[in-house]
Amino acid sequence: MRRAQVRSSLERNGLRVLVALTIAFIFTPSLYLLIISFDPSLLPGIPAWNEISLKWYRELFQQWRLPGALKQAALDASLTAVFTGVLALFAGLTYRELKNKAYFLALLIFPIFIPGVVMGLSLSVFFKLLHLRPSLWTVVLSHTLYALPFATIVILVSFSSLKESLIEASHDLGAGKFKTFKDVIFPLTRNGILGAALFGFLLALNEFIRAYMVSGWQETLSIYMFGQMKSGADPSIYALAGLILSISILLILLALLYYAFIRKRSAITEG
Amino acid sequence: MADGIGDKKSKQQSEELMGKEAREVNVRLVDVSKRFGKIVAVDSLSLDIENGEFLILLGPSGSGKTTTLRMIGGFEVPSGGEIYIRGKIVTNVPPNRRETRMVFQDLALFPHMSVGKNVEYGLQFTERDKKKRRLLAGNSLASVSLDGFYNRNVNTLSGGERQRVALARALVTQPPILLLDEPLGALDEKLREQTQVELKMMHRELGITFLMVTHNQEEALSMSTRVAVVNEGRLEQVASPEVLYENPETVFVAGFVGTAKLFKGEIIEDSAEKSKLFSNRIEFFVPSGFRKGEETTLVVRPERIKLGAEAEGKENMFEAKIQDILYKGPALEYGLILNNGEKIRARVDSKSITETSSIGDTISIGWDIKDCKLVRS
Ligand SMILES: Nc1ncnc2c1ncn2[C@@H]1O[C@H](COP(=O)(O)OP(=O)(O)O)[C@@H](O)[C@H]1O
Ligand SMILES: [Mg+2]
Repeated sequence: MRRAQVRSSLERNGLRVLVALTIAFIFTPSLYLLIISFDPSLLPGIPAWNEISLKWYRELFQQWRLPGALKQAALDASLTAVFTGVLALFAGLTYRELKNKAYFLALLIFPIFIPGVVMGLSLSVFFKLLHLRPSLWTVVLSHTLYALPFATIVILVSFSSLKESLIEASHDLGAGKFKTFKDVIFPLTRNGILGAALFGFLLALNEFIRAYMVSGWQETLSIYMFGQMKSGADPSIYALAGLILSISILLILLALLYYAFIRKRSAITEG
Repeated sequence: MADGIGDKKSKQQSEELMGKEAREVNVRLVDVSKRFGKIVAVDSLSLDIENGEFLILLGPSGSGKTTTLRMIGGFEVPSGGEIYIRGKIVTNVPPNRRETRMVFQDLALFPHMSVGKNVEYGLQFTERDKKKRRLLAGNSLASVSLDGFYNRNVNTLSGGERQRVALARALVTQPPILLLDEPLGALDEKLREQTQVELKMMHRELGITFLMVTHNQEEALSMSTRVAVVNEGRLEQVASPEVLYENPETVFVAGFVGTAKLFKGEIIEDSAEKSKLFSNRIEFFVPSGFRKGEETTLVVRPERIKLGAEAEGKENMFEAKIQDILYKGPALEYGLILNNGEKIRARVDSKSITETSSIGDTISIGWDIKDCKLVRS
């Protein structure tokens, strides 16, 4: 009995350490990058307390191409968010009524496993075939394709907690399909739909390879950064990386706060 | 092409139904089947549900009760057959254009709407006036003793209250037919009995058709005006509770409705007033009706069996050993074993046993011919 307990507590602590190490492994590189972006020296390392400076950030914002890239990135991410949100919603609604759910899901999820380079290449060739000039739209289209499987998964998770009987009850009481969507399905899955859109936004913001291959003179943030890196520019790219990282973290934090708020509110109403 | 012909035929039938019959028959199922892949959930079921009756679909779990109810409500399209509601074919009509209202097994209250908004939901399609809707919802809530619950959150209600909100929501639009799927399943014993009484009263007051599904035979017998027993998707018998209990027509009904001992055997003598059945090395005197050589099943209800001195002189009388005795308030229930090893239960008035008998004793057990039934095997 006791031996088993000792062992299980050892196992539990071992597991905790493992989890901590894994989390550290995931976040350390990004954090390191964020930290060194505040070091003003030309070969940035971890800055001493009194050396912390926003020098590279200032320099970053003086680069004339940056505002354009930022604007493109914001447009790209926002449009992708809207498109993926809506399309993933349709996918979710379709999925509910399908008989062969597994095939549909497999088909929808498969693009996740297509390498970015392959997808980017095929898209750029395909756009050429359609005489679509590289533009913001080709980037948004590619990013929507890229983010859709992920967004769909988010929607499906959210839909899975939606009881079928609620939809049937709405029909039973006289509501048609659209009315039922508006009054029952949407209010109960709004968070999932927002989550799917957020996924689209973040994935588009951070994606590089597809954007690189289908964009013309348009630069997104990632492309801009890649260009800076290749041309061996100054450490302001660390600041740019830090900036992208900060935006992502901020958005995710906001989403988490929003969900926590909702949960608390529903906990209150549910007594 | 085939469809067109079918349509024509159905239309004709529907016109026939529009006659005097239509007023009495509320729901008509004609050869209705439902298959899910290889599973046959409902197997050519035909049933007329009359205006204003309280019909209960009774059957074990998986017998196709819910599927039948869902086809009437419009949530499943039959694989075959036709469904008529008030004289019109509705087989392919979606639920939002049917006159039926359903109380779902899980109640399906909208969690993001208040009690009042839940009840009002079905009114918006027929009632334009917002104030009137609110008034009707309030009245409906009052009719299920939930006055003042209009603004309450449905998620904070007790099980019984939620149940009544679901009822109010279904009844507020004054449907001619109410469908209920195991509405008492989630309630505890006390509340269950209370709700049984309330539902029955509500049915009497409203005068509309109630069609309810349950697997609980006691519930079916005590609440309904008629019971339709289904087994493996097929209709076994439709009858009033009394007839069902006293005159089961199939072995399944005999065994499923109430408790009964079934002796399967062969008729070895037949005459006008009585016959003889041979079952597992015992001979029984049984009512006539089957011919010599036919296989039938004898049905004996526990409360029709007499014990001890009262068993003397009965047309069927045997010795049996007492295996167990259960005290059931006004009655005592004996578990007995016959000489051939068959077990049988008898239920007697606690006061009727005069001699003391205890477990292990041998006792006389008997019943008259009129106290037993034969059904086709
Ligand atoms: N949507 C469905 N898909 C596949 N099989 C189903 C479906 N609904 C019911 N069934 C099957 O049909 C049979 C009857 O089910 P049901 O009508 O729910 O029975 P009951 O309500 O009497 O318990 C069962 O074998 C059940 O598994
Ligand atoms: Mg059922």
